[in-house]
Amino acid sequence: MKKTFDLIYGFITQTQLYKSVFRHGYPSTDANRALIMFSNVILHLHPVRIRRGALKIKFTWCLGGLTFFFFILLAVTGVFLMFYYVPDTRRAYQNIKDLGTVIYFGTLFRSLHRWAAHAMVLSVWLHMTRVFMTGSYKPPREFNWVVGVILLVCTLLLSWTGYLLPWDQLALWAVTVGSKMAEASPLLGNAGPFGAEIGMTVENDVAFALLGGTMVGQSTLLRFYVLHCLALPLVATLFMAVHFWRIRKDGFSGPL
Amino acid sequence: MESVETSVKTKDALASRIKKAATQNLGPEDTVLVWPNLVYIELVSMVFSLAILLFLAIVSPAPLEEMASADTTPNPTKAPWYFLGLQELLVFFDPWLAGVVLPSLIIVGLVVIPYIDTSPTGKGTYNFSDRKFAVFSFSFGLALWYLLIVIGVWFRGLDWSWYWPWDNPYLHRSATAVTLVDLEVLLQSALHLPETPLLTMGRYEPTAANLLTWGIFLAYYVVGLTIPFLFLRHFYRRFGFIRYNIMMFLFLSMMGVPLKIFLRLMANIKYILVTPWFKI
Amino acid sequence: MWERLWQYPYRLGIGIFVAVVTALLTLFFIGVTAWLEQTFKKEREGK
Repeated sequence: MKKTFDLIYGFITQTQLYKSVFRHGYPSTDANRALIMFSNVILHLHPVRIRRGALKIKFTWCLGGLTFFFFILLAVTGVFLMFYYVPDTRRAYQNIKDLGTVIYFGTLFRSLHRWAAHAMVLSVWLHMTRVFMTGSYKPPREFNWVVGVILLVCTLLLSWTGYLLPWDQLALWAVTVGSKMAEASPLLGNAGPFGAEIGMTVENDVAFALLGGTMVGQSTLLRFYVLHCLALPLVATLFMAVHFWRIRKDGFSGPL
Repeated sequence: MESVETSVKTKDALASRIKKAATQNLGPEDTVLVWPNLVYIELVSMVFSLAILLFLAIVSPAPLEEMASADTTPNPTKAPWYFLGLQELLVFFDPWLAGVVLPSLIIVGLVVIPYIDTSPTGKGTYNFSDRKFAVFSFSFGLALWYLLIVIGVWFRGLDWSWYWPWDNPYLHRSATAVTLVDLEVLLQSALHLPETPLLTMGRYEPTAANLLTWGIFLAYYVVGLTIPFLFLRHFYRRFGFIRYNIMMFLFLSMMGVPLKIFLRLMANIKYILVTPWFKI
Repeated sequence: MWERLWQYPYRLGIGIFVAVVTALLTLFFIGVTAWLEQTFKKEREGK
């Protein structure tokens, strides 16, 4: 039985089709394990060898990797949700209800999306704590820490813009709380210190720019939809690329 | 010829630099191949966390309340849990402070950490013994943040009143007749200061008490900045003038938050400093 | 002024709650860091 399997496997791996896709054999030999880091686009983020100390789970708790994984999961579940959602105040709520009732796997994907979002916020916070406690932000890794803080802000903004999309009471008023705070910005908000002196009114201050109006309404929904599904993920991806690149360049800080 | 000599010299210099860098890298004995070691850890952690998320998604599906309506405001209106810390701060600080200035200070504070704490001790290892102040400040900040979120989630109910876990969450708590006073009013009555304004600057007419509160507010920072400078000079020297000032300003601001919370809770003081444009 | 302090035991309870929880959480984070530091140190000495 094994002989026939080996025969078939040997034949397939010698075909042009196979060799064009997988340029070398399965990484069961050290040579192939080194090669795959260069030939696979997802894996090429990794080095070929890594210090033994860097593998310790007790050191990193896999938090950074998990945050990235949650981001991918949110992107995948998010795309699914986007097929069934229209950012129109007259339709959004019913779309979410449809996801919960008539759409196959709708509840699963929506719940997974929501839980992955909570998990990502939590893990990004814990990851930051871990990096601080191990001093992994010290020179030469300062800039990567700054990029990390930017990613933290991106994560929170992604979470907040997504919160509005179901267009239920929780969404509307949670976002209204946030926009009231924006209105109270010093200088930029019409209700904050020195705002009125500069000429900020309810129709031209930073809250207006955020909401696309004076109240949370249709413009806000569309704005937050674009931010949540396109603009912020693009920004986050860009900064994640810098973040991972920096880790490769500076090396993994970790016990020897 | 000179050009050959210099090129040989630079080549030697370059070669010795490369060799030095290479020898500082650990040899292959201390490293392992990423495939399979790291890749397997990543795979297992992804599968494990996905399993947990699936379990949670099935057991506790995403909620959906009634459709958004601008007419009915739910009571209480709560921000998402990761912003509840800021919403809780709104009780004790004005919106521009709680929603804009303090979060900005938090973010700025986080960003400057590696430019303030540049000492190489404890790089790459968990270390508390050699970095006590840094770990303490960060832990304190984290603790405050988590505390405010916990309060916002579990201890705030109708009308944003305080509800202990054993209180009935459906019962409105009558706004207990709590009269909050500003610090300047307190000082004015305690020290019998005159009520007439000392200066007039357009809209702003500060009384003696008002100017005294300015003094107290500024003294908090000035005293806080100078005490370690005078008595813990080695601490100051470690950072240098610019870093020390930035760090102490942020540290004092962070400590000021629970301080003001306590003044509000214990002494019913509402505002430390009042001007026509802003109140702290 | 002291009457102001004790007039609302309700608020005193909240104040104690805030102080205690902040202290506990701070000690928790410091404690986790210190414990992990010791674990790694022991491992290195054990080698």
